[in-house]
Amino acid sequence: MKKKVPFRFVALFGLALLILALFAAACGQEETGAPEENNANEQANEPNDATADESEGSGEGAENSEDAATASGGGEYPVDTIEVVVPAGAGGDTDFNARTLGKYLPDELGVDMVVTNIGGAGGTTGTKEVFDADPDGSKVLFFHNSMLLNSILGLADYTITDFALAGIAVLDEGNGFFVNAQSEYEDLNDLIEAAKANPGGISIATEVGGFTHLQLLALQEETGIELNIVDVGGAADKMAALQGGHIDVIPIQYGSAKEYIDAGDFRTLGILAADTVDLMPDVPTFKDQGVDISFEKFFFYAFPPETPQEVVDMFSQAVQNVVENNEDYRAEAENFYVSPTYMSPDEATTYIQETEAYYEELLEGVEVQ
Amino acid sequence: MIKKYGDVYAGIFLMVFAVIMYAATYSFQRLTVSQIGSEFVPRLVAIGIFLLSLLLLINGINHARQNKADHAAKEHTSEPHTAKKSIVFNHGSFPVVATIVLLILYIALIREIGFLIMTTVYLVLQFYILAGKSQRHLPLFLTLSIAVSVSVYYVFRYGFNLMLPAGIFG
Amino acid sequence: MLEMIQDGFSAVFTLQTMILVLAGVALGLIFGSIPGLTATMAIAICLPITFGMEASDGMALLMGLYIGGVSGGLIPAILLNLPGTPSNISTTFDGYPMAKNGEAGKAFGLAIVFSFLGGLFSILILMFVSPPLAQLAVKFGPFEYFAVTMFALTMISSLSGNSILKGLLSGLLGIGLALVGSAPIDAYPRFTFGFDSLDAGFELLPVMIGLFAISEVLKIAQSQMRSIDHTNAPDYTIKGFGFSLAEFVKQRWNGLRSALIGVGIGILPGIGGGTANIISYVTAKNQSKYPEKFGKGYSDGIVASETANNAAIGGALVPLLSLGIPGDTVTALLLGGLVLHGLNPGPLLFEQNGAVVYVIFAALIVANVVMMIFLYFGMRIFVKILSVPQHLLLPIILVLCVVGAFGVNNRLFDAGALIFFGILGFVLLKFHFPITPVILGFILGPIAETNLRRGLMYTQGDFMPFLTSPIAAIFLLFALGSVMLTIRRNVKKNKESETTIAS
Repeated sequence: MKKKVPFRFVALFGLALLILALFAAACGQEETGAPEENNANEQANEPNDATADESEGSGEGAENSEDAATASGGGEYPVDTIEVVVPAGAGGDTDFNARTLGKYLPDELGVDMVVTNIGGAGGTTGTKEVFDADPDGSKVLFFHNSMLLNSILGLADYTITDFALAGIAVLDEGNGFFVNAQSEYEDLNDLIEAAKANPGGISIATEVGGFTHLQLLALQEETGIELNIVDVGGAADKMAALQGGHIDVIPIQYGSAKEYIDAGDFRTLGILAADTVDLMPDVPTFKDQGVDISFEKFFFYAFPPETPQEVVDMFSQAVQNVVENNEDYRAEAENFYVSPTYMSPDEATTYIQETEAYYEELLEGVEVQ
Repeated sequence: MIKKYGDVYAGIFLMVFAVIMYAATYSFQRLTVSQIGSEFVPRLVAIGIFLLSLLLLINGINHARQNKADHAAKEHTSEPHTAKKSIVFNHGSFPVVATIVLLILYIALIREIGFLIMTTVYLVLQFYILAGKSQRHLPLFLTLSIAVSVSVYYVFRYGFNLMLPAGIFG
Repeated sequence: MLEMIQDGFSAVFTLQTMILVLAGVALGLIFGSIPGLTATMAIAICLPITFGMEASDGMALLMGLYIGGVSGGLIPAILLNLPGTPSNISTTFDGYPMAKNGEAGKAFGLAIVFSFLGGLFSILILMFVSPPLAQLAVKFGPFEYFAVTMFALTMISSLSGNSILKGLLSGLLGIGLALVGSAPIDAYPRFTFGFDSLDAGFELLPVMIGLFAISEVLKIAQSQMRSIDHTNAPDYTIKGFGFSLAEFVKQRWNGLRSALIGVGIGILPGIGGGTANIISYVTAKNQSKYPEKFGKGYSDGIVASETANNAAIGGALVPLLSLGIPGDTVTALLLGGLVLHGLNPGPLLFEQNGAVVYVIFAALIVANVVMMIFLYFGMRIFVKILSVPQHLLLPIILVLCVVGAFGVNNRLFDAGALIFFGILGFVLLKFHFPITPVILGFILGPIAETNLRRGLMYTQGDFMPFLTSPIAAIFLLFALGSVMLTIRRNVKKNKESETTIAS
């Protein structure tokens, strides 16, 4: 009796795992062209039309990876799986951009790519994880300008340029201000007029210390108005607050608001782009309306400090190829109203340093507020 | 012990906890100035814990006194009773302490040594700690631990892309 | 509309889609039934897989996972006293005692049937009345949220067992634990004592699994497996669903009330399914003629818990599909899945992608049925788990808990937190502090604080709107009433006990 029971159990457990494994394998089969190609899939070697030669390529990558690690710079990426750390939850815009790029990058590099979400603490938990990781090219950060804010506000003691920056891949120029369709404000000037007449009486949503907070501070400084800045949470919470009539104005990405504009629920007051954006030609910018401020949300890749330059360059090159030449990728990104824009590590560094200086200037007065 | 003075200990501990908690709120940084800042709710909670644990302490002391009085009244009848109490805490505590130590070591070493090895080692030892004397069947423990850790690792790592620590194999 | 429903079903009843629904439910059940692995994780893992599929196929898989993941947790809750997911916490209260009393079959039967009915009820609500309900949900601003969470927090007093004092302390401890990490609104860290890894605070999953599952394992370790040979003693034979028609009819009001609570809580973004089962359980207990029977293996307890957690599924999908607002981590993932397929949830979803929406509805209903069938036939196998010696079963569950905790954020910190909360839970049990209030405080505390502070930002410091907003005022009145009721009941109980002592 004593013996029987454990063995029956082993069989039962084995069965359960077998089911799990079968699912895993089945799942693997489904994801042709998906970011994570698993080994079982490659070994199965099914002639999967477009992916056939690609998986061949990644097979080679895996075989040669050890040699490449010692030879360094032989053209092969030193590890066979890259973990892309997204310091935000699954389902948001950072996650979307990381996963869309993650579909196409593995083919360029001949590696597997796994997107990992490490949320919490406004992104500092995830960025810290990469900052402290082994500089061997196996972990890369994918994040946006909020990281500059975290370091300016003292939430993180390092900034983007302390990493081995691999360049910028995407710009989101559709940072707009939106009102409910029933609102009396038709355009930005209506809002400014109303705010001048009633200082502090118009409520506008933000996340304190976040990217949208900067936009509001810049608007107040530029036009001399005073708004009631209210923290209502992330993009989804802002949209809920606008629909529920709790707030007068919300700043969110145009891509998220588009649906509601088409449905006649929201109206755009304008976007904060420097010029008219090709993706949204009919949307007026703040500059068009005489308010000279502009912001862009940029998404970058960064490796832990001390990562070998050739690894960073190899990765950056692959990003450039996808962003500039891969039409499938560009179509997918533009569908989401973001602009695939490549900046090399050097260009990105200059760009980021300029942006950081501007942000610092804007945030100087915040503590007193 | 726990039954008799449990509330007294818990009350004292929680009061100290509440005081430390309250003191810690003074080091919070603030970004915006408003009537209710990030220290408001923590202080409210600390005060609540302090007051309630004070009540608990008073209750606990009263109970302990009452028990003592009851005890004194029927001293001879309850002698085996007290002996039983201490058994609960001493006799059973080895597997608990061993399990806690094992779990802490398991998590502490998993990054360096890796999921596969640590899980196998953990499972064998944990089976051993929990098993009765007649149930200690080492070959079964070994096979089972290796089977479990290998299958869990591969299913999650390759099936579900969960980057479990590879440790010295990585 | 009927035509679209028909089209939806015929799309689901193709071989490929059907296989995906079946696979989704099965995988969801597996994840849900293993403590530490949840519906959230199952969906997070399978989300990238759906990218390569047709939108409707991908959605069918995700809906299967969702239904399965929420339902699977009832298995370990009843058999092992370990809630598989936060949605099953209160299923353990009566499910495990029933199983111990030799009524595992009945416990499973009730749990499965009422999971199905709760799910079905909420899906029908989702299909037919979701736009007006969604409009109602967005009317909930910070004042209303604050009031609702305060009301829900008063439930703690009914979950306190013998000592309300200890229940309240547990609740405050839960709120206190949730304070660790970045503060809401200004994001500066609190109670981290300089440790960066604490900046993000504790995740619900390690806290819940630690407090309930790890502590349970430690408790069993302490009893040194003495009872092992006896655990097999109760009779687990199962006939049909294990309960009679009369028993089913007796549960009709309880079931309906629980389903309404589940849908109602599910609809409010942010509060989520983890609390629906607890609140429904407490309400059932407070409304019952026999509140003293709860917690000792009473059918009503299981019905309340399992109806509400599945009803929360349809509830949570209401604001997601009609407004694009995710209520919890699971629906946030689903939102990502929809967006990646070019389906933007929101006011235009029904117009622009009506076909896919009805496939989602059909997939939900089919998955709900499949869930019931799988569990019905599965329960005969599940009870066999009990014939496995616990000294083998528990360590393996512990390993899976560690994997699950690690998977929340891909950090070992969460696995460490799991162990910490396991030890904490064990200590609490030793000192006779109830654990459920800790979880309730942990979930609700931050919502209350965030909305209190947001509300005061709106009003620039004026507290009055918290009392003048009609919905908020009603819930605050409920909260007050709930407190008064508890006090009265206690005074009465004390008097009674005094009189019994006197006589």
